[in-house]
Amino acid sequence: MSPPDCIRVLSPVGEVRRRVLTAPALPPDLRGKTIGFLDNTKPNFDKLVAEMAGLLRERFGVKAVVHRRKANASTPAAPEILAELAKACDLVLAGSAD
Amino acid sequence: MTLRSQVLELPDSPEAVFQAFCEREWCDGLPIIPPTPERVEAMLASVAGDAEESLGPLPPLWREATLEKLAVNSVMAGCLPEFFPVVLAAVEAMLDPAFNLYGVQATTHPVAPLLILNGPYARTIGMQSGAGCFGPGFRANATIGRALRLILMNVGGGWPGGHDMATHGSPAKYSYAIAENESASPWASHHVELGYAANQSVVTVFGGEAPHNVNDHVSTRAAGILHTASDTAATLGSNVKWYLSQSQLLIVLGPEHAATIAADGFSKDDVKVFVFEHARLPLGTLKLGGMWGIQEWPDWMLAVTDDRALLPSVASPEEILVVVAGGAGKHSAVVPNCTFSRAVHRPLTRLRA
Amino acid sequence: MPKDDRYLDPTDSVAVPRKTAHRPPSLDGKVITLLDISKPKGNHLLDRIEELLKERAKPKAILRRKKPTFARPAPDELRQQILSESDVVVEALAD
Repeated sequence: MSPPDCIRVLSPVGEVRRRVLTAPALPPDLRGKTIGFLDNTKPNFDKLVAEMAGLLRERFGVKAVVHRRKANASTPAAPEILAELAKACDLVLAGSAD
Repeated sequence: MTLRSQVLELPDSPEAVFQAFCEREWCDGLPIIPPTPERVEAMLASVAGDAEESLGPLPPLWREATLEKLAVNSVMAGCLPEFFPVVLAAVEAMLDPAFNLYGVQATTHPVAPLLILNGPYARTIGMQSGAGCFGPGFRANATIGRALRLILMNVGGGWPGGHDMATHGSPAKYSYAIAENESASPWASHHVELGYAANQSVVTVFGGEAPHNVNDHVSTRAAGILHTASDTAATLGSNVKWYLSQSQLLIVLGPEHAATIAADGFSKDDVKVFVFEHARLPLGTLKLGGMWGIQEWPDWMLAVTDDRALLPSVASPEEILVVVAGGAGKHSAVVPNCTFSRAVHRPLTRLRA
Repeated sequence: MPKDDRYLDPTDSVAVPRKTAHRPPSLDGKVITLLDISKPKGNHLLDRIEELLKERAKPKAILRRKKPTFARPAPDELRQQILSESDVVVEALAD
């Protein structure tokens, strides 16, 4: 029983039932790896990708960069794009430019 | 009834409970009714289903929308138990993939789910459809709308600046719920148009901006009022028209405007066609800003080169929803959607007979 | 703090209700002002009221006055003018 002058209330916060997915460990070194960029289609992300692709190649010895665009910024990426990136890349960066 | 939620023991004063919930980021900033087990059980008793049954995981944190959690939040919002079936139908509707709740919850746009209740249950629970229906002043409207917001924050995890990335948010995010003024409508009401019987009660959720006012004090013909509504709908700064495939417009006609339009022989479909034809901006205006250059348009629109060409805001007249609501006066409202969420409807199925 | 279940009325419940002006028992021989607030078609309504007043009563005179805009209260001069020249005012709130 609760002490007098106390009120018992319930937490409104939801609980997760789904199995939590853990992302695979990031590679220790990017040398020779293929890096993917998932572009959210907002302006200037393409410029960011171009710049970063250059840096990744020059400084980290990245083998290739794959750049894919979602249909638009506000809906999830199509399953085909995700499957393609998963197959081709060792590491994918999801970009949210604005 | 077994409840599974974590229990807190707090000093029994309104201030202490309110303070404790604010500190935990469990409320919208307004005072709450303390969700005691007794109150939550009374809420659950108004619907068919078990406390631990889940309507599905709610984005962005994918936490389960169990009837218990929905009841806890509805108690906090100030709902009466008889409002709870409406809250459940709205959550079911928002979980339809077409509603894209993840996008609605996480976007920088000021979108809020507008709940529209049709059918006899609106009258049963006193959901306002007449004067001042967007608020304030009506418990059913205010607390049902607020329950949805608390659910989106506490179950979904859409906390402003955290997972809810809205730049400004919106007053509509506190609460946004109306009933259609069916008795003042010259046409079949929204749910009948959707194929339901008039005596069924149906919830529609629409991911929209706050209402944009349509003031037309002078038109005595349908065309005048609908020109004013169309002009209000076609603005460079609203999301509609940029992602055309998911753009929708909701026109909330005041009863006086609706009567004038219907007296001119316009059906509801005529209203939709008129607004579809006139809620347009010239290509030259669209090029000035907005989302020019990143729009998602069909090929025929992308091929247009004449700056004077008038381009539509939605893909077809069917993407325009028309309801009648409000009281006396020469005002209507346009609610543009966020363009990544489509209107979804669900009948009230969990009413306990 | 001791528990107290009494609550205070948040409305202005102690204010004295406003009194409406005295109504004359008959309009015969009175000066009547018809005040147009300048919303569209208010004049249609007042035209009809003027007709009916002439038909059904014997006012001494019917004066037509108009606010410059419905969006603000009538200017003081207009109010004083109406007060000094008429016994009864009918205001049309058309919309």
